[in-house]
Amino acid sequence: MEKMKLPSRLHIKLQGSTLIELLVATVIAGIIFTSAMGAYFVFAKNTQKMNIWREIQKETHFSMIRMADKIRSHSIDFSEYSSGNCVTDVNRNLCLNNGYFFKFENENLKMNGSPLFSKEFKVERIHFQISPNQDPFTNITNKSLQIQPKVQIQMEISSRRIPDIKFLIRTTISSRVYK
Amino acid sequence: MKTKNKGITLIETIVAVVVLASAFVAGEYFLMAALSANKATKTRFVGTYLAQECLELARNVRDSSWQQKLPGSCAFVPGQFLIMPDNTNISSALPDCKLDLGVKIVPFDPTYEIKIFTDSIPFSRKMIVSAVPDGTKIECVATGPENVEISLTEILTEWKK
Repeated sequence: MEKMKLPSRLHIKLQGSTLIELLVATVIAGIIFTSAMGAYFVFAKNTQKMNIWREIQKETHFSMIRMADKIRSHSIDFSEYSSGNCVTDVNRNLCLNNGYFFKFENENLKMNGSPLFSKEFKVERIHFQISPNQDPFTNITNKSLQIQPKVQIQMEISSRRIPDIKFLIRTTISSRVYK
Repeated sequence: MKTKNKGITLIETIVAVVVLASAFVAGEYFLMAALSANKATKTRFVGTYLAQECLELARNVRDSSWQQKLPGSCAFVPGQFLIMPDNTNISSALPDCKLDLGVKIVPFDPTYEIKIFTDSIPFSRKMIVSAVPDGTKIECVATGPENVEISLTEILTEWKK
């Protein structure tokens, strides 16, 4: 009799605790899952942010190099500013000799029609400040007008996926064409 | 035996949770460090372009002086200066020569705010001019947040008359 009782009591005890255990296990699993999901989302978001920062710097640097290269080796085409491509939007377009031009178009910066930024990024603002504002080499007798041309570039780039990633940059490039 | 096993399972669960949590915390910590390093890179990037702008402006002054047949010494005297394009609201012209070269050079002022569009950025920029044989040494230092300091140097040679 005693030998029969012990296993049966144990058996009942086991059966009773299974439901509570199941509940506890579910709750613990739920907590772990929720916190893991939260942590994962923060992790994924930060990884994405990091990649976007890296890309935005790379593309901005690339476009700056393209512009610097062209401004240095081809002088500013002042005739385009009096009648030509650059009359309509003086500070958003830049016209250089030998047919090179940069245009702010469809939230992108285009060089001779082809975009310099990928679709992931949006050019919020761009400003080209050309100095002097007229051809310094037309009137050779007036020496005070003869200023070496330069262009100041100001840009604001943002990410389309995470709009609070914004990048402001400014520089000036002086022409290397001497007359 | 069976009861003992169940007890170990709970401890195991707690240990597993702790291990998992610490792994996530460590991973997140490294990611945050990488993210802040990325932001520091951004600051250096902006600073490098500002220092480059300063060098380009100095070069532009040298070239304009040459166009106008002025001596280079007229534009550059040894010292520390603020150099800005003409469109900024600095009032004075070049220290010694009252000539318009499209660039403004005034004694260095650390409180001058550098702007991109209308936004002030936390940078100050100094042009250090010193004389070297056959020319002028221009050192441009852009100082920004988080001890970021970008220094670029160029030697502008004096042209032959």
